[in-house]
Amino acid sequence: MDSDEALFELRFQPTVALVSTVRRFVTDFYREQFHDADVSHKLAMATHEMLENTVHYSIDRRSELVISLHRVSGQYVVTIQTKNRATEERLDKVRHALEEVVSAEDPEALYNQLVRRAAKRRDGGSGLGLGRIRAEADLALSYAIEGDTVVVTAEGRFQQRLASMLAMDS
Amino acid sequence: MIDIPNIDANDLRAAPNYVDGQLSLSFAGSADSRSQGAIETMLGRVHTEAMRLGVPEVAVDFRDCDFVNSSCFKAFIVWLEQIQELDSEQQYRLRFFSDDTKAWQRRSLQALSCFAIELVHIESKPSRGGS
Repeated sequence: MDSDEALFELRFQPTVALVSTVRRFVTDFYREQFHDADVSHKLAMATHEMLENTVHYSIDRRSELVISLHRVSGQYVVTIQTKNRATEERLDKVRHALEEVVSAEDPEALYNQLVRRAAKRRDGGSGLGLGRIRAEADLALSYAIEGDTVVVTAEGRFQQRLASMLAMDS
Repeated sequence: MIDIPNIDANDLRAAPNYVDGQLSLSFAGSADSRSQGAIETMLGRVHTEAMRLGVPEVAVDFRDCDFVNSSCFKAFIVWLEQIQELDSEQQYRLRFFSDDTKAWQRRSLQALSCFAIELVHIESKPSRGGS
């Protein structure tokens, strides 16, 4: 790995409490890379929402999280990936939810639609997490389902703040 | 007197206040799925008390919040829908205070504003810590 890349991998049995622990850790990880609190929050929010989905959908309570950063043309390409196994019924729901968010041409319009839908939901879920990632974190989403395993990937490009800007802040 | 429970668990603190006819809520810390039920219960009680007191507005201070997950945001959406379902003379507004150094707060609250533009006002203020 060269100095322009960073990689974080985690395989664990997440609980909601552990997801928050991971979010705090990756917030520091992103902050160290970008020196930008807002970018750090966007990426940490996306990581949290994706991991919480694995808590709800995983059949064996196991999840994998991979976060990678690659420098391309002066920007960092950030990839956040989660992987877990799910029941066939859950996979159908996940596929439907992901397809709607992945294919949306206007992420903000879709998120507003999901908010209106969430107001009527009484099953305990919100259905907002994936839409929020696209609308608020400036990340593209993709997914793959192989057998009973679903892999969800969020990816985006972010600028690292310049040292001169950091000096102005201090 | 108001009958609204505090929240102090799982990284989240939330407290109601009723002073000089102003009903307000302050949130601090992080809200994840562990807090969803407590927030739903609290907002349900706030709704009941707001109607009993006949307040025109409830202030919600998010400035000390570090994170709110989508499940907890949904609780605020449901609250707004309950207000929308009231007769117009019973409706009250929500005034959200966001920290002007935490861009995510305004960004996330904007979705609530789009849902109920006539009921939601978002106001950016300096952080309590002054940083």
